[in-house]
Amino acid sequence: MSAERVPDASPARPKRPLSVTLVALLALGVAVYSLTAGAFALEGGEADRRADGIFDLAFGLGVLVAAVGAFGLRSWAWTAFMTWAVIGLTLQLVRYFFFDDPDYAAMAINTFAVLAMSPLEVQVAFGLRHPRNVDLARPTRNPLDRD
Amino acid sequence: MSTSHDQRGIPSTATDLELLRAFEPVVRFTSGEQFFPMDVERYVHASGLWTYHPDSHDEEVIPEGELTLERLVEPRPAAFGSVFYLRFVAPMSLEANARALAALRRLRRSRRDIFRAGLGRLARGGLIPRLLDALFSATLLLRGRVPKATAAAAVLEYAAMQEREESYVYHGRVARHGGWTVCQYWLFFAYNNWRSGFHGVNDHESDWELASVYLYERDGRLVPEWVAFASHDFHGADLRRRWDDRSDLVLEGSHPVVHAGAGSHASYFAPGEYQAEVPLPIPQRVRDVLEMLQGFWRKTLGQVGARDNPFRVPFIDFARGDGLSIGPGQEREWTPNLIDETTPWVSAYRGLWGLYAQDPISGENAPGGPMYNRDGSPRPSWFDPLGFAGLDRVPPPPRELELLEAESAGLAARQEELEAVIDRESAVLQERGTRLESMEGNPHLARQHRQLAEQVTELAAKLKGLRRERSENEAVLESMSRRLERFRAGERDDTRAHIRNAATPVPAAEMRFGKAAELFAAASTSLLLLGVAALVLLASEDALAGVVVLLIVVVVGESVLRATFVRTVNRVAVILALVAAVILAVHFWKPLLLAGLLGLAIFLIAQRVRESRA
Repeated sequence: MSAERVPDASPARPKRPLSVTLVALLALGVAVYSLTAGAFALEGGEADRRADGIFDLAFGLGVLVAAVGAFGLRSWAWTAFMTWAVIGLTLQLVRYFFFDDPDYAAMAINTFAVLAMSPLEVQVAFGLRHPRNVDLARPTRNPLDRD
Repeated sequence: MSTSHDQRGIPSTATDLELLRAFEPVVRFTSGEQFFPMDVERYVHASGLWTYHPDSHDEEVIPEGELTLERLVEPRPAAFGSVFYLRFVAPMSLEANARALAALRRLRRSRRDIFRAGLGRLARGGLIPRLLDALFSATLLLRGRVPKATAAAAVLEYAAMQEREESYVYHGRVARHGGWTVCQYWLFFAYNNWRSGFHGVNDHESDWELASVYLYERDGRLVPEWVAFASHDFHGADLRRRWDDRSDLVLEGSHPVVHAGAGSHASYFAPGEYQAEVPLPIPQRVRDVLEMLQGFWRKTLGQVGARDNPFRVPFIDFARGDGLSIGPGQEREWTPNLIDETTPWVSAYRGLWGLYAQDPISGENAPGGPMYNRDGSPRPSWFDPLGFAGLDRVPPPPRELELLEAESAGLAARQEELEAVIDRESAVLQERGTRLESMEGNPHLARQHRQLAEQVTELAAKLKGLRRERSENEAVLESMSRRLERFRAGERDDTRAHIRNAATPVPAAEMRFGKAAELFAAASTSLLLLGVAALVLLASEDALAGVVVLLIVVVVGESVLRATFVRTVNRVAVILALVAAVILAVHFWKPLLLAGLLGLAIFLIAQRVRESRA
């Protein structure tokens, strides 16, 4: 038996931009990697690796929550990604400019996340900006507008 | 649309003084204001006349106590580059400075109407404007400026004058131009203490402000139509409000209400706190680069453009109207003083009305008189009171209908003329076109064909121009007809149709921040500098890296207090990502190029395969 669908009175949920899906998938990958690494580190039983393992587990869990939030277009997930990106990019740029020791993979992942999450359309989808206040239109190239 | 039925006016036979008194303004000051409109004669008696010579030395021409309005206007030849100026406060010794500052503190304590800026003054601007504000303050050490003790001495001197004989004076002038009768109310203040008294931009001895009422004649009466106030950063039509505009023009009977800025004395229609901005002189090249970057930010990166120009120093002009009120039926009444071009001190003294502080950007130099600018050139608000308020192209209402009818009739006649010309020219063009067509395929007529083709092209362009004119005229005529109908039905334009930029007080919600934000704003610049010093001292090798991290922490931390975290974190992240993207592109250009080429190749193959299947 299938329940009759009740028309939703609330405004339609915005469609998730492709870039957000990619970032969320990437974050899922990072989360799985961190959780696995953390679990292995703890299971190894070496005392000096325990702290690393706990950090990896906590980090992996955080990224997993943020990824799930991003799939659901939750505004806190956007804030979490961007805050983490600011911290990560600051760290990598300082390492690059002043210590000559950057982690290019982390730099690339954070750069991709920022460029994917920052456009206005994405912010609108996350409910951080009202579409009324945002001009998303591109100028027309209709030849009729030319004399 | 609104109509005005409350404009009774006064008989057009009224004398200038009666006219001025009928519409004299009510001026409401902010609590804590220390200077009020006064008679120039009292000020001149209390001042000395000085000359600044081109070789950079100042000379006292007439000492304080001996100067009169008659002596002020005596002709005095001087070399080019000389500046005559008054000194309300004579040069003071260090001891006199200290005494004046102490006496001012005592005077303030004894007064009840004290000024309080309120929370939020510092937190209104971001970190960059605050750093620029600090730099702006520092430039006062290099530029000529009025010393703080001078402001204190001026407050004491003016308070003593008022204690001897309290008076509140405006200098009124009636001018008649283009069918308008203009009542100008020139308000003279002994001192502008915006900077030293109210955290503003500048201080200078003496200050002139202007309120004007524009009247026209109807049925033997002069009826008020417009009111204009001198307001910072605005000019032309934006300075005036129509008499029946109740959105921000306040009237007390037939008297417009001016809300004067604390210390600055700038005039505003509505009470409130206004954000004045001092734009920094950025070179054009830098401006172009900034514009290009803003375009990249908005169009390429799809970001919201910056709401504020960061290269400006924000200041607040407090025009709360909660202090002394002067005018008919108020706590204090006016004493009018009639002036015109024949008043000697108005027309014959071209010097400054206070200290010449030798400030190259003039902010701290005293102003000239009502008729002249600082450099002695004529002041537009005096010689062109209509142009000053953007009224030079506006006829008085009774004449507007006549003019509109005449213009409309003229344009209709031109349309008829155009119709005839277009018909004639169109027929000629068709004849020529037909002849041209018949020449096609005859090589021996090549020369004639070329000449005729040129004529046809020329004629077609001319005809296109005529048709465009007819079409444009049609639209203009239509709008004129609509306007005529409205006028004949007794309707008027929207009261605010002429306003492009209106001075509006900043809403209280945007002006107030929490104590934490205010404290952080007050301390952040100094803390930042201390942090930089500590880094240089304790970790000199990594100081630069530390400064970058410190800056980001301060900017993001402040955004939390100012409730702008999302906007700030987005901006910071995008800037960092752009730098990182450039680094990645430089380091991995080869793999990136290969990946790009590979992607393009796959895309093209996919396209071709799709086309071949279709």
